[in-house]
Amino acid sequence: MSLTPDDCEEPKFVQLKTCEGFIHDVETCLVEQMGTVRDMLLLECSDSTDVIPLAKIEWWIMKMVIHWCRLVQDNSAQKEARDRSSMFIELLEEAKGDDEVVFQLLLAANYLNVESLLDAGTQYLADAITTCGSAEEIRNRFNLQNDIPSDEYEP
Amino acid sequence: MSGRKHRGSENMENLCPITRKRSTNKCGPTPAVSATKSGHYELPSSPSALTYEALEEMGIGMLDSEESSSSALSAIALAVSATSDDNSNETTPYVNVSRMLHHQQQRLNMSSTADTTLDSSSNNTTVIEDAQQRLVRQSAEKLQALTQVKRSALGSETGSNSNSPSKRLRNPLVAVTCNNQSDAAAPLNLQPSTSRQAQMRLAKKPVVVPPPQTARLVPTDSFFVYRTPSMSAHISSGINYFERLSDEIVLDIFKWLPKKTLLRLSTVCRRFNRCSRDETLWTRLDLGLRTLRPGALEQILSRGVLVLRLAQVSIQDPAFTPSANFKFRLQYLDLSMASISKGSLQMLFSHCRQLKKVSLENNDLDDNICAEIAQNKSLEAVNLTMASGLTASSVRLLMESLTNLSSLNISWTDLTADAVTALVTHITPNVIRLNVAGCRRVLFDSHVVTLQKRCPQLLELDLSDCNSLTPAVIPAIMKFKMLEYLSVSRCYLIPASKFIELKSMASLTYLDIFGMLSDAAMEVLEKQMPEMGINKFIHSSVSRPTVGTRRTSIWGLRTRD
Repeated sequence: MSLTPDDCEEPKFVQLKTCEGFIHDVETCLVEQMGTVRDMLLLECSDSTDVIPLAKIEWWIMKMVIHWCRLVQDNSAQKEARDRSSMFIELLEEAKGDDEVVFQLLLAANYLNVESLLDAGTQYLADAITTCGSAEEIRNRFNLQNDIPSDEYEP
Repeated sequence: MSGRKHRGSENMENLCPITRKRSTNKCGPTPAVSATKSGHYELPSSPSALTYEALEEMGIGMLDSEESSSSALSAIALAVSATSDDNSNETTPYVNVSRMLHHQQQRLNMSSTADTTLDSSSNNTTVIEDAQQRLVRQSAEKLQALTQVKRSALGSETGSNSNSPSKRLRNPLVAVTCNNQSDAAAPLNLQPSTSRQAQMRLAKKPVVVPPPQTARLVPTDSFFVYRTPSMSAHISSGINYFERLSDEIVLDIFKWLPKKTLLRLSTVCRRFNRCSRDETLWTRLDLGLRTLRPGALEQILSRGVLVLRLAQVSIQDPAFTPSANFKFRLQYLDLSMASISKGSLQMLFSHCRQLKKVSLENNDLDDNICAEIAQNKSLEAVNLTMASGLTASSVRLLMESLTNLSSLNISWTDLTADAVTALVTHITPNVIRLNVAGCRRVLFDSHVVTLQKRCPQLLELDLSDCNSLTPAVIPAIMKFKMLEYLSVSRCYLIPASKFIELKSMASLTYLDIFGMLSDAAMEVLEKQMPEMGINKFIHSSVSRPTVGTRRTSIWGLRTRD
């Protein structure tokens, strides 16, 4: 929500309203990363000053997503997946996030169609899965229930 | 609940000092449990409620001295066993242990969640947790008894409405909280009761049950699974966030994972099992140089693999079960140098109908296998180098059926003359790359003539080691107006002078004549045909899936994600 006119060519703002009614002012160039919003803007008149409602996002998640978009913009030179995932980890640690935050971010990235965040989040979880050794460890890590009947076990 | 409280306090004088204190506190904490605890004597909706209500109603007491035992469980077991003997004759001590277990578990949950109302010190949490874990372990086994408990308790409940004072001596629930509130360090110093009931209880032995491996419960016919929220909160200590994600996102996560992890994921839970089998995750697979157990190939192909490299793989029999009756989506299959039985090979191809490129280099074939291969009408490239078992009829069948074939390598397959005839007579005109090397003494000039009439648009032709070819073949070759590559290596009957005539072929760019000329003669030839690339390719690459040292792709398609 801060003004960074150096980053954008046209410092136009887009207003995004999250589910509680909180309105975020986001630079257009950041919003371009969000596929859903981008498409919404295309469909509507580009001069529209309406607030774009995002009913499925909460305000704190929105803030993180905007922060992420800004990070991507600032580091657009390093587009490698590894850098992206380390950016993701930084983002998480800043927000002192736990599993809940990760999954919420993933859902938000899916809803807003921010591909970079989706890739980073899924990679983060994939790494978490591979670091687990056995199926039991995976279950413990993610609190999954083993509901496979024993006769359906396959090698 | 308030009603019960009054009744309990009426009999306070019967209780030992400590339990008396407990019973006043007992009703204090509001249970964090859902509506299993109600103030009415209605039929409970869950066995846990039942036990609590029923036991309270029955006023089950507990021997104080038993509380001092290290195992709260055994103490409870004693209590319940003795009590239910009073109430009903059908229940067994084992059954009652289970009843008390759940009920203690709930009480422990309650008390741990309502710490402020109890005078529990911080040390007590460890006691709680130990007891809880013991209970959780043992409760899993006790569930089976719960149905009986329910029935018997129902029966006993009606019988115990009398509320005799002797029965409402001590509330076992009170005893439970007693454990929570006492100093963890010191054993519970409760005055032994001298009542008749207590002495009877002393005589009983607690039932010791070995703890099951997991606390997870699998529903079967004989017992049901229930879990109150407070119990759930302690059994699985967290929320399952994966439930919130759509399958699409789960697949996005899985796409980063190596195949081994995917296989492991399929044993985690049902949803993961389903998602890890999604065909988008299994489009390509490289199992080169491995050994596949019986049935493994079927498992692999059932996941919808499109690109499969099985080079030098040893496939153990039986590779397929008779029940496999679905068609494989396989399109690109590399079985070069693989060791697989003819039966398995036939079964494999009988399920493949969408193959586009296949390599069976060095495999043993027979007519049945070729018949199944021929069913894949969309085949574009076939590599049968050094394959054995090809007969004239199978060659003919293959050529007639595979009308989309564009490149064929049938070199060194010990074809008979009839087979060669069948080949050139029926081969599809769509072929642009053909390798028939190694047809020693069976491939004649007439065959090349027929071939040229059949496939005038051939781009690449390898006739090396077909040593029956005579100089008369050169005019026939010259009729290929688009031929770019020709190999007549080691066709010793053709003299060097004949090759110069090939210069007039405008399209010919590469000529391989290994083993034909001395170095000096080669130099002369090169001077005479400066534009021609002579002896540039040692190995043919017609239909070959992997050329050179690259092993991570077949026919240009990646085999690893």
